[in-house]
Order: sequence, then structure tokens, then C-alpha cells
Amino acid sequence: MRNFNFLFCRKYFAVTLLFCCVFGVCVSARAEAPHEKFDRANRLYQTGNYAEAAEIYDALAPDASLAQKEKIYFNLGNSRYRLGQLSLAILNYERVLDLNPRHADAKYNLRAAKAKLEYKIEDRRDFFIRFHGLVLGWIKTVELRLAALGLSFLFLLLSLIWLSQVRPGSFWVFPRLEIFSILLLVIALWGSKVFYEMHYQEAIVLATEADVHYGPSRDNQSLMKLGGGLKVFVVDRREEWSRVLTWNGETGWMRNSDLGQIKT
Amino acid sequence: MKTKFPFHFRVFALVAMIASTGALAVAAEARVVASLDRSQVVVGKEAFLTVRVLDGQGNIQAPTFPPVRDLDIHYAGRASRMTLINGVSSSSLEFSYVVAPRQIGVYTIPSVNVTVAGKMLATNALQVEAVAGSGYVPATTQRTSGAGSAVPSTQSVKESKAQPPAGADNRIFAEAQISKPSVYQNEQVLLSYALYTSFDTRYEGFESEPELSGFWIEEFPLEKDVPREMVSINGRRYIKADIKKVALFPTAPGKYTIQTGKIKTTIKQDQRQDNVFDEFFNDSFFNGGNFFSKRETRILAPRTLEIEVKPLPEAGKPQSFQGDVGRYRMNAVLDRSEVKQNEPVKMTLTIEGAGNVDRVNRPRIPDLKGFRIYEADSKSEVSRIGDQISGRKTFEVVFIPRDEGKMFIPPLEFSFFDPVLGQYQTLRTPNYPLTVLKGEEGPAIPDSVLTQTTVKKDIQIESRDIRYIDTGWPVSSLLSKVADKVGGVLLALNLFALFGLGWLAYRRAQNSHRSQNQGLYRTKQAKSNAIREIHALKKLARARDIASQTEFFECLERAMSQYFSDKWNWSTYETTRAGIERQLHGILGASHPLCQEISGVYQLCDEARFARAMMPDSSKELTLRVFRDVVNRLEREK
Repeated sequence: MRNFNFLFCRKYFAVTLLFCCVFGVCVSARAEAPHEKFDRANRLYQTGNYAEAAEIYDALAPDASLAQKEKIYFNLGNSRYRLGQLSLAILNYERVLDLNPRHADAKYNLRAAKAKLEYKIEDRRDFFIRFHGLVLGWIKTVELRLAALGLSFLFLLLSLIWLSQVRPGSFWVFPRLEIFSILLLVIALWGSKVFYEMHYQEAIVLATEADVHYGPSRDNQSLMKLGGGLKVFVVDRREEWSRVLTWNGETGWMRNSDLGQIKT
Repeated sequence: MKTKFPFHFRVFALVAMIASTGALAVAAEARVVASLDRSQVVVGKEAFLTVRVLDGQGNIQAPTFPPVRDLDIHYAGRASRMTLINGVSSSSLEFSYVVAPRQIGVYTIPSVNVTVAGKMLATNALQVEAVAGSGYVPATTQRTSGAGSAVPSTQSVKESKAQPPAGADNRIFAEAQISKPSVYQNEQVLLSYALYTSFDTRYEGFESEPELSGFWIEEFPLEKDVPREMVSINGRRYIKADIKKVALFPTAPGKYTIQTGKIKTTIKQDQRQDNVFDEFFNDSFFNGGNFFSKRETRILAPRTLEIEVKPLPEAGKPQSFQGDVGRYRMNAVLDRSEVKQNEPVKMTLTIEGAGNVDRVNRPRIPDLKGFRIYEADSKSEVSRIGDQISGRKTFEVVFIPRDEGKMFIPPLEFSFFDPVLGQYQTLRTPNYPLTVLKGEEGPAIPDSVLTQTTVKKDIQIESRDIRYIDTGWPVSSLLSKVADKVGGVLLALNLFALFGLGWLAYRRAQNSHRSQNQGLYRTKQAKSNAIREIHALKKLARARDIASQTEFFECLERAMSQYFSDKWNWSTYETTRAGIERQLHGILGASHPLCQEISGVYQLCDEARFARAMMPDSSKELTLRVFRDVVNRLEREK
């Protein structure tokens, strides 16, 4: 009888233990939802654990939607700024501005981060890049595309109405002329923006002092050194090297590992 | 009894008085006097020769001295002066020359002629003795002058300690000075600039301004008539002009080096060339000189200056001290001593004295229980007396009592450091009693106070940092989902609209073409219309009664005529049976069986319509076949 009780107890104990283990594994194996990770990273940031917060934000970014990325990159930029990693902070603020060019907080923090940079570079960009910075940098490609589609639909609709009239008057009068003119302008801007994005990929120098060479190898003579956090334009890309154009008009080759692409 | 003079008598008296005054002025005869400021001069040094024209009228040109062996005589400018004493005016014009002997000896400066109002007046000859020695020869009080002795000299010569910079032209230089080499923080120190010149010089301003970072600056405005005087430095005579004065208030202790900047001047190149314009433009130091004479630019760089700024002593520093340095007194006025609750009472505090008045701080106001306190307007009036910045600053403080009863506005303290005494001073306002009567309820601040813009304070940024993280996780709402689809929807709408536009355009073109080519369209449509008619006739052929049969043949004849009329684009009136047969003979040939058959069909139709005879069903089918064959045959024809 005692033996039976002992065996029964052992069985009961083993089942309980097994259940606890399986339950524990299940609970621990339950994947943390992205918004929970985001909240956890925020709490870590608030308590001053910027490095851990940055790790979580970094891990969250690749699978997030565009709206989520905007917030993740902004918070990641703040974490990097607090850690003194100005180049990475600038890269992330630039990514936010790439997603939302009118993000006021990102602009403000970017200015603050840039103000702390050791190096500066004279702005001698050509007209097209300058124009992009001033005008096209303020608006997103998708917004220009939607504007072009909306205007073209409006123009087509007005043309349909005109064509369906029994005795249609002159075609190129208000509002068709005006809408068509604006449509052409928007299409030109859109094309310009697309061209810019295809040919000038913006990047941030991540290395503290990155060497720029005359050719895509270390054997080529060194052209200059670029300080971390400076923005460059990638105009050509090879396996390990990128040809960059600097704000002062110089062009040379940098290692890809020294650069952080803004467009993700 | 008063004597009243007639009007014409009074006018006459006035004219006579003016005429007599003018006569007195005109009556003064022109004289020319030459004088030397000393009778002895050391070889290599200079004496000043003045040719003074007294009561001269019109344009007078500078006399030119003939060359004297071993004696240099250089023209150094002119100055004019007019005085009016007891209604008598007198004028004098002075031409200055620098005389420098090269050898020991006694020189005679010959008489020269000066043309005054068309008359030639000769100067007196002068003698000067050149002696050996390197020291300075003091100016003699006795002048070697002739008639000029009656005229007092207007140029007293002082000894100056200023030294020309080493290596520079010692005939013209600028010097900057500070009033004290060591001052306390926020104590005034005067930076002054003086120009020393032996030339006819024009001051053109600062080529580069002095660097005065670390100082609060109050500039003294340049006087219209720049003070100038004749000074002597190492035996050389200079005209000295004070060109700039700046009061400096050092903001922090330490040793400062003041880069004094660069001064631009122009000097007249040809000192002896005078012309008629001299009279109008004058060769005054700062008034432009001769506009048409050639001038050479000289940039003068005064020596840099060093100043030590001592920190204010910690010992005895009062609690209310806010960094003010100077010598001040304070006055306070309360606009009333009795006030209702929630009504404002204004205190006007005036702090005046010598120091950086503009930067005087408002005395601290303690947190008073039972009052709302607003620091209202402040204004300052800065004056420059002598070399000292002084003035007054007025502060207004608005007190709004909340509780009724007897209250007090306690003394307000203002402390400053007196650099003369070297200690701190504290001034206090009186303890003002205030009777607060029961007023209207409500803590609201009276509009009269709120609307005073001066009551409102400016916000101040205390520090700079990055903006905070964004903690909200974006949830994809229905709106955002719709927004994502907008692009696709717009694209689809565009395609739809484009298709509709194309279709409409095609229809319009087709209609337009049809309206322009009616005959062609009829010809093209003839076959399809005929086939449609044949289908209708087939249905009609199935009927067995006589009426339907008659209708069938009527319709058949009409359909055939319509087809031929459409095919050949004939009008209804043109379409006759003879015409059809003629056309068919032309197309198919007269011997073609179809031509015979068509004639037969027409006859059959006539029989059926007019004879009302019952036809066999086969004849209906036959006629339809003939009609179809004719259509097919004609459609094949080009």
C-alpha cells in the first residue's frame, strides 16, 4: 500500500513537473508582439538604458510598416544621440525625414546632432541637388505621384465632359488649361524626384574618419578624409566600394562599411 | 509822454543803422602779417610760419615763397576765422608753412605778395636762426612779427607724450589710449583715438573697426567740430585731433588685448597747389578740404592696448547684488497709498548715476503675501557727460493687493559696487504703507493691467536638448488602409476615364465622318440593311393568308428598291424599275440571268399586289433567294 502511494505520488509529481515545463516553455516561447517590444524599448530609454533600447529598435525596424518605421527610426536616432553615436543618430534622423520630410522633431534633432559634428563641409552642390534639397526634399515621391494621378484624372474627367457636349467650345481654356499646366509641372517634379533618387542615393559617413580614395581599392591614392555624420551622395556602387560625391563637389571611392544608406 | 516816430522815420533809422554797421565792416582795411613761432630752430627740426590776412575779402590764394638756400618752406594748410564784436565783424585767414633749415646760419624769409580784392599786399620779411643741437628748442614767447603783433595767436602749442609708432611715417600717426590700465569688471574705461598730423589731412573713418569682444560698448558721438590743437612731439609740430571715444564696460575678469583697428586718412599730395575752390571747400581738417585736389590715402594703425579686468571682491558682497558697477542713487514713488482690492498700484523706481546705466538690473522683488506682482515697463536714458557714461533707468512694478486691510510694501534693495570707493553700496526704498479697501470680488486681474503689454514677460529658453522619443505605436486604421489604396484607385479611375475619352473621341470622329460621307455610309450599310430585311421577310413568308402574302411582296419590293437606292446612293425619286434594270445591265451585263430574275421578281410582286392571286410558297422562297443572290453578287462587285 505504501509502495502504491509512493508510486502514485511520483507519477503525480512527474505529470505536474511535465505540465509546468511545457507551460513554461509555451509561455516563454510566445513571441513578443512588435508593439510590446516597442513599449519595452521606450521604457528602457526612459530609464536611461539607451544601448538596450537601441538594440530593440534596431531589431524592430526591418519588419515594420512605413508608419512604424518612422517612429522606430526617430527613437533609434534619439538613443544613438544619447549614446554619443552621432553618425548613427544622424543616419536615423535622415531615415525619418526620408519617410516623412516634414517631421519637425526629426529636423530639430538632426540640427542638434549636426551642430555637434567635428567636421563641416562647404556646400558647393550643383543646382540640381540644391534644388532637390530646397524643393523636392520637402515632398515625398508618393505624394507627387498621387498629385499627378489626381490631377490627370481631373483633367480627363473635364475632357470627357467637354467631349460629351453637342457643340463643345474651345478646349484649352479655364480650367482645363490651368489643370493641364499644373499637371505638367507636377509630372516634371515627379520625374525629377525619381531621377534624383535613382542617381543620387544619400548616405551618411559612419566611420569616425573615413578615407576617400581616387579608385575603388586601398591601392589608389587617398583623396581626403571624411568625418563621421557627413552626408554624401552615392553615385556608383561596387561590391565593397561606393563612389561618393561630397557637398563640395569632390568625388571619390569609399568602403561600403563606412557608409550608412539612408534609403532602407 | 511818449514820442511816437512816424513809420518812414523808423525805417530810415533802421536802414541807416545797418548801413553804418556795414560801413564799419567794409571800412576795415585788409592787412597781411607774416610771423614765425620762434626765432631759433635746431637744424633738422621745424618752425611754423603763418601768413595771416586780416579783413581780407574774396578769394585769396596761398602765397608762394621763393626758394631760400638750405631752408625748406612747405605749405601746411589754411584756416579761416570770423568774429563779430559789438556789431563789428572782422575776418582773418591764415596760411601755415613749415620751415626747416638744413644748415646752421641765419636765414631771411623774403617778403611775398598776397592778392587781396585785386590789391597786392606784401608780407614783412622774417629772420630765423638755425642752431646746432639735437635737443628740443622751446618756442619763444616773443614773436618775430611786424604788424601781426596786434593779433593774438590762436594756436597754443602743448607738449604731448604721444609717440609715433616705430618704423612708420612720423609726420602722421594715430594713437589709441585707455583711461585706466586696470579696472573692475563692469567698470567704465574710456578708449580714445587721436590723430597727429603735419599735413593737410582728411579723416575718412575706420578701415577696420577695433575688436572689442568681451566689452559692452557705448560710443560717444563724433562732434561736428572735431576738437583739435597744436601739439609738439620731440620738437615736431602736429595738429592733434580727437577722432573717436568709446566707453567700454568689461563683462568678465581677465587680461584683454584690444586690437585697435585701422584708421583711414587722406593727405593732400601737392601742398602748394591752391585754387579758387579752396575758398569754398576750405582745407579744414574734417570738413572735406579741397574736393578737387589730389589726395593720398594713409592707413594708420595705432598700437594694440592691454587692459586688466579685476574681478569684483567677494568680501562684503550683499545678497541683493546683481553685478551693477558705478555710482548710483535710487528714488522710488508709489502712485497711491490707498487702493481697493484687485486694483493696481504702481511703484516707479528710478536709478540714476554714472555707470553702465542701460544694463542696470531691476532690484529683486520679494515674494509678498497678499499681492500679485508684475514687473512692468523699464526704460533707460543714457547721457554722455564729458568722458563719463551716465543716465537714469526707470523700472515700474505693479502691485495688486488681494486682501483688504493695512499692508506694507517692504523696502526693495539695490546694490552696486562703487569702483571709486572700492566697496559695495546698498540702497533701499522706504517701507510704504498701503491701505487696501474692500473692492469687487474676484481674483481676476483688472483689464487695465492685463492690456498693458509691458506687464507681459518674455519667455526665455533655458537650455537646449533634442526632442523626446515618440512613444505611440502606430495602428493601421481603416483610413490608412484606404490611403494606401488611393494610388491604385486613382490609377484605375484614370484608365477608365482614358478609355471613356477614347471611346467618345472615336464616336465623335465616326459621326463626323458619317455626316461628311453620307453616300458612302449608305453604300456600306446597304448590305446589312438588306440582310436584316431578308430576315424579316423570311418570317413574313411563313404566313399562309392572302393579306400576309400581299404584305410580303410589298415589303420585298420595297426592300429591293431600298437596297438598290442605298447601294448606288440614289434618291427615292431616282429609284425606278427601269433605272434599276439599266444599272444592273451595266454592272452584270444584259445577258446575266440575275438581271432576268430581278425583273421577274418585280413582276411577281406586282401580280401579288394587284392581282391578289394566291402564290405558292416556293415562289416566296425563290424571290427571297433571288434577292439574296443579287445582294451577294453586287457586294462582290468593286
